[in-house]
Amino acid sequence: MTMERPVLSGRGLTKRYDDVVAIDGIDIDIWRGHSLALTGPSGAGKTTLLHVLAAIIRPDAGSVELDGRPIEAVSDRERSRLRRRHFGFVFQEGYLVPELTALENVALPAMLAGAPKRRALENARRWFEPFGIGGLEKRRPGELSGGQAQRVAIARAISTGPSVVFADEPTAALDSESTERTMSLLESATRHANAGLVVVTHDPQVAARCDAQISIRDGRLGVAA
Amino acid sequence: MFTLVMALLRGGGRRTALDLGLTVVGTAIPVAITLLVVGTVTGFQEREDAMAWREPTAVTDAEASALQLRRYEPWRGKRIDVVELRSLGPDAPVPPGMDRFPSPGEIWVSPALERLLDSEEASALLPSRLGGEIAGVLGPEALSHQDELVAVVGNPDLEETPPEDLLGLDHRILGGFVPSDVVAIDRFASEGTDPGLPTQYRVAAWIAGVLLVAPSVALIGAAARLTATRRSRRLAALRLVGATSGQVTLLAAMETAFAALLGIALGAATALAGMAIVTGIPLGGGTFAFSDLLPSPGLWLVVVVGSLLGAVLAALAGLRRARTTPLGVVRQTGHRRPAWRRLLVMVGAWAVFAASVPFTQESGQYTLLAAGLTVVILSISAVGPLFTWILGRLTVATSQRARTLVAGRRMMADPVASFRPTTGLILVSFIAGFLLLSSVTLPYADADEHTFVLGYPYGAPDEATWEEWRAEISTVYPEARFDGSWLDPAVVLPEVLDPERVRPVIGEITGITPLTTAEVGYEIILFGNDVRRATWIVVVIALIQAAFATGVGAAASVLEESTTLAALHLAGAPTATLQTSRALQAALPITVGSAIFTTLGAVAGAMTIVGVSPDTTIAIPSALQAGLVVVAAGIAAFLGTEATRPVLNSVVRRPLAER
Repeated sequence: MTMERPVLSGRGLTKRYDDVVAIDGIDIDIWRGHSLALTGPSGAGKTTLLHVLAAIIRPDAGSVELDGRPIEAVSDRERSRLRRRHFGFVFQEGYLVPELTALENVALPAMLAGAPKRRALENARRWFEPFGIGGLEKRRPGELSGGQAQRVAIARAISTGPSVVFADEPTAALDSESTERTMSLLESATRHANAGLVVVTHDPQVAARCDAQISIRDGRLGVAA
Repeated sequence: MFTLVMALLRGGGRRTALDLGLTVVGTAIPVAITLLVVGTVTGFQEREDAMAWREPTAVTDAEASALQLRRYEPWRGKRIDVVELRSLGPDAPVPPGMDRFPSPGEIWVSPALERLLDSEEASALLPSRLGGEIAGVLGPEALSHQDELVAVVGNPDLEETPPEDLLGLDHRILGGFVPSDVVAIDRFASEGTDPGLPTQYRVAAWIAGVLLVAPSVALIGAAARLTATRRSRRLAALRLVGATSGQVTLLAAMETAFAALLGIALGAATALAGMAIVTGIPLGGGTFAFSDLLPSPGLWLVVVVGSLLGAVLAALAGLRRARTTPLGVVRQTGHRRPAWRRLLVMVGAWAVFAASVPFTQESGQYTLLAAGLTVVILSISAVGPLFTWILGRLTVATSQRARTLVAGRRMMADPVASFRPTTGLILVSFIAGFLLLSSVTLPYADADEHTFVLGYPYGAPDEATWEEWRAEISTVYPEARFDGSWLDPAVVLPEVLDPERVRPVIGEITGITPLTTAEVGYEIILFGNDVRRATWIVVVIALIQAAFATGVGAAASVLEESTTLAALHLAGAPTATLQTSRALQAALPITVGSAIFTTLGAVAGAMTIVGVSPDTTIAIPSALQAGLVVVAAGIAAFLGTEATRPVLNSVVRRPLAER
């Protein structure tokens, strides 16, 4: 596996909310095919770091590069495009669109990118069997279990062929069995897609599954495992 | 509990202030409109009562002390209300606005008529036609408004109409140019019973009221929904720490009542300001005095209590989720298609309305017609969600883009919530269709003042008589032209001839007072012009209300769907796409609904006019006029939704963890 350059890297990343420093001069690299766990207590700055890396919010200082291209200062429209094409997201409880069917939820990123509905739906459908959610295509999120909803969310994140998948507490609402299945799927799917995986988690067992761990405390990097 | 309410209000920050402000405005607008409508109806009733004394009411259980006749004297397209009186003894009643009974040959005139008589021509022609010499000026008690042309004449020659010559119907329904019977009286009437113009104005004011208050109900609902989103979360938290359902309900009721009382005060102040503005708008031939427009204390009380109850009930309805479960969360599990029986509600409402038309024609009672119209308007909110669901289904089936797919699915997922913000604009379309048809059907004011019709109101002469009249009129006025057959005879004068100087000459030849087409159509022309003026006022007010309700509803939906919207934004949906999706969600039902309900409004307008005036020929508004309504509704929806873009921006930028 080529590891000449990280797919995503941040240098000197700093973000403040009024007088509170959420992250303070963080350097970080994300590599294709590798997973990285961000751990730390509540309010440490994990989610802020994830949002800065994922071009959701702009850092006050520092730079973010995707495949060597700086992305921290691009426009809102361009950041939306970057997220659609290069990033996938999995959140606690999935955050699926409740009005859409599971199939439409998976097809949504492609449709947002301009793909015709029929093609987007056909492309989305092929993820259901391998992800163990075959037969649930027409269900709405409210009709799915937590684990099923997370698998749909993973399918949505992977379906566009992302460079990096960001998972924010993806197992927080799941029991241990579902946690195991969800993490296995997340890891195998991202590895198979040769994408980087960033997991924000409180769960030491989930963190331990990742290739690397970074602990954040008071906005600064702590112990790396 | 009161202390807790005040603490929550004080500590709620900007969001609570916004919620309170919306409840205040959401209550103030309907209160102001209702009071204005009630005030205007009161004003017309006051007018009717103020002029009631002019209509002779036969003595039944006392000795007659005077004889009375009422007629209209035409003058340049207008009419002078003439009351002729003859005393039968020392107990003859003193007419309102006078300090004594008029002596034979005396004419007492209203201030407006006195001003008219200042002109040389009127002073030369009118007194003789009225039947005496000017002796005094009528006080305000005799008048329904200050611009009225009224004359009270002492006529010693009045003789009571013998039973065999009695008209047998109310002369006013013929437009009033047919004099009343000469009737023996012992007092003057004090309460209005005029079946003509005043009744039409009262009915029109009620219809305008129904049409205006209905969209404001949508506004109350939208404001209540917005505040409910915040309350649900806070009150669910209170339930978790042990507050009972009753305590939560009382808390919300007290909080809403506090805001609603402020809104009622603001609405009342706005209504008073509106009444001051209405005093400058001529309606029914004159303007209202401010005191005419003030509703009675009882009506004030009804409006205040009704509004307070309405606001509190709307707020409590929005609380159901928080009261039902401490967690207050209901997950979306499937599409809830509204029942098809909603369609039956609408069909039933139209059936009731249709049935009220012949009833009104036969009875002359407008109550059932107004009730039928109200039911039809209310049925719109019953059928609206079903209509929205169908539209959502069609949108999903034909969508190619994410924004249309999401918009369509949202319309299907919660059609009631999707329709709610659009209710106001759909109702405005209905109103506009109704008024559009009414305004194009009613005649314009450019009726000819140089064409005398000779068949009205006594019926056409026979053919031989008409030929004689033509010959004699041609001799005096060779330049006169004759229109119509002997069944519909008319004399058209060149504009150089003064109709008021020709009128007595033709009257001498024919033996009847000839009337111009402007005078014959006086009431309907006056009414038509006022309806057209009022149409603009009503539609503009309704559009402003509806745009506001759409905006408030759109803001509520953003807050309710904040998590979904933020997740979509994270997944790469640009804010512009989300905004377009929401705009489509609002604009699709509004645009299609506006076209449908403008048409239905026009149909309802036609049915109402046929009910009130069966002989009216209905005119159809042009597609351009109707299209303007649809475009205006679409623009209002766009502006209403667009105004919430900052709310969307703030929502998608808030981290998911903070929700």
